[in-house]
Amino acid sequence: MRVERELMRGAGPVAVLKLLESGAKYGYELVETLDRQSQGVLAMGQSTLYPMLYNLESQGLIKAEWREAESGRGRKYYSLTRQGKKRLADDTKQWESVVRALASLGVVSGNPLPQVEGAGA
Amino acid sequence: MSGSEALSNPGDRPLWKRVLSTPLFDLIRGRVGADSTVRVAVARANLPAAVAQLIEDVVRRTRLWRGERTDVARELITHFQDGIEAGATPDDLVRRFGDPQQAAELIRRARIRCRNRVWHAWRWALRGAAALFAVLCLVHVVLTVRYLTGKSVISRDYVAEWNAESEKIAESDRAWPLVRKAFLSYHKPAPLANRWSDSSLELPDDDPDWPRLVEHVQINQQSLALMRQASALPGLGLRFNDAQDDEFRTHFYGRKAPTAESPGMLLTMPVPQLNAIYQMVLLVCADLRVSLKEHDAHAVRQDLKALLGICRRPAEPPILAAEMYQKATFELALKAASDVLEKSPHLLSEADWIGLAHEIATYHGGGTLRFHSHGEQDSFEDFLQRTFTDDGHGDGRLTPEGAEIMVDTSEAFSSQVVAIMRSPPWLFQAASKYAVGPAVMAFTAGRREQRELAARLRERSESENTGPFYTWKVSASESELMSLHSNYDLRLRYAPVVLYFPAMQYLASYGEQITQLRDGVLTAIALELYHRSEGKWPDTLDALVPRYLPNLPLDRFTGKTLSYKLRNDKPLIYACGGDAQDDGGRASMEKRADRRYGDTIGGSAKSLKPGEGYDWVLFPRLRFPPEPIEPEAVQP
Repeated sequence: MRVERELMRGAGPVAVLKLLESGAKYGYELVETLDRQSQGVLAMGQSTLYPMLYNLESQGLIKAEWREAESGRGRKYYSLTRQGKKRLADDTKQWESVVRALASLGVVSGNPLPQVEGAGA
Repeated sequence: MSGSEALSNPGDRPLWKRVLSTPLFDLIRGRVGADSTVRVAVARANLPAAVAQLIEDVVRRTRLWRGERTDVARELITHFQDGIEAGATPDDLVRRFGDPQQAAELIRRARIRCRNRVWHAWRWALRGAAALFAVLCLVHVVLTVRYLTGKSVISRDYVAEWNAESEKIAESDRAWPLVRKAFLSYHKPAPLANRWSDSSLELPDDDPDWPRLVEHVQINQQSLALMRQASALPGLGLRFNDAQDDEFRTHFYGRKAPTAESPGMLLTMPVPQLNAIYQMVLLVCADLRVSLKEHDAHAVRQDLKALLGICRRPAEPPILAAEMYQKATFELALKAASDVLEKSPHLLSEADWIGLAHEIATYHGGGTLRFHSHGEQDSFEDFLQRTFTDDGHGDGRLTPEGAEIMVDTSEAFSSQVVAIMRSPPWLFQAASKYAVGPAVMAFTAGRREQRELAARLRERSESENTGPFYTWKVSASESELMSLHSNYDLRLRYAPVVLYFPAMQYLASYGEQITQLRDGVLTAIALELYHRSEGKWPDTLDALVPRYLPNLPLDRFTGKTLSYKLRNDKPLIYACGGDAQDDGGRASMEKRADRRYGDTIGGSAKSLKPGEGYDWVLFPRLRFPPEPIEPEAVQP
């Protein structure tokens, strides 16, 4: 299942930041990993990935570096900056809140938030 | 440059190589794009044709800078190489990549965001400037349309009204036909004699120019006779702006004058005629000066009578310019009477002096001599109706014809504006119609605002300083008028007011000065009559009242009686001047106009102590001989 474009616009950057948390990655690797780990839910067109990476770079959240791969070819690797790490931490908390809120409403399954007054059981 | 070089890591390249990849250098070298570099790099990557085509397509559509394009191309090449190495088919990779047009657009936006802040600041500045320019262009277009569609409406023919008033005077009572005839038969003085043509009363008896003055008077006897006749008539009957009178105009200008005066300037229309009258007045003065030296009592009497007769008529037309000429003539008559009284008082009989005193005292009703500005209002209204539109509610905007009239007649505009609008015809038309004119229209205050400002200034100036000099205070209307003249923006915004509104305080001051001079001359005549009757000079002026003077003459600087003393057994009459201090009749011989009336009126003169300043000696009057003229200054 693919998510709606608007939803992907919010989730895509945080997903990319999360993938880069474990280390530098190049473009094709990011596309493939996203597709595989999210079982296709967060798969994005490759034409969407690179503009997103450039945007994150322009915001100073990631940095790019050309390196020589084992095959001898050059690749552009992306890694998190300190600002990117901070943003990832912030975004993660916000997404957790969103998920908990949605769970409390029964939109998603998981640990619901404490019952909000006025909300249905 | 090879494809591998082109696609090397930009950060690894030396600065000079990176500089060579800027858009400016691309432009200098005639390479406005990086397509060939990208094509070479893609070819070297040995990618399947579909993939290579996709990359080239996307990169070309980004329309980025050359360095940015090569960087994007390089990354896409490695992306597809990674995909092929991972086992994906070219078709699958192309399909999964998505729409090339959308990709190119997104990449373009994202890469532009990555550019440095200076570039972004410059971009926004350019955008702002472009937006501002567009707005200004739009505003200018609107203003130009508004300007070019403005039309003046002549709703009232003031010239016809004034001419109608003149035509009410019976033909036999009109002096202008005689004055015109006198002027047409007038032989103007030779260039060198110009030094005394406006001041023959000041010419000393032993001046080397004296024979020329005598000759000038002799050859103009016909004009003199006509002027004496004209001075006895009660009206002038002047038809001004008479474009048909080519004979007069040619004689006045000394050449063929092809057109009448500007129809937009009612104020200036009668100036040639008024000036011609004044030239004839100066001829009478010249004759009086010669007759006085030759002790020709009859001629002196006739000339004095002629001068007073000319200036006693109501001002025609009723504008300040006509009044100015009249009062200037009256001033000359006073000076001439003073000269006769000083040099040869017995040329005139007691009855002559009494009659002369009566005429002088009753000039324009007696009392304080003032200027009247009601004709100026008509003149101003006429100017507004010729230069502004009329919205039917008293308001309107400057018209193209109005702007031209103002340029023709005005020094209110800056020299730069006038220079533009007086450029060669095609440039002038283009500049005035499409560039300067609309801007001037937008900046110039509307018709109602012009009228309201003029009315406020008029009302204020007429209520200020209406008494003698000693009651005068700083004039608010004068200050406001001066600020209009001195401030460039205000001068342009209220150009019609600046052009038309008279210097009322100056005129009031001139009226005060003539009043003071008149009272001095009347006192001198009274003293002469007393001396003839009593065989001696009186001890004080009190002895003259009431037989020779109805009241004691006022010193208009102090509010007291004029000062009088005997010097060498001759009477000396003086006012205290601007410092209001009696300096014993000490006159300044400085030729500055303000010094002729003693101290400068007002200002620092008030702080002078008695004896430090000067007095205005009214009788015998001071003379300032004409300056000699350098020979080269009179060469044609």
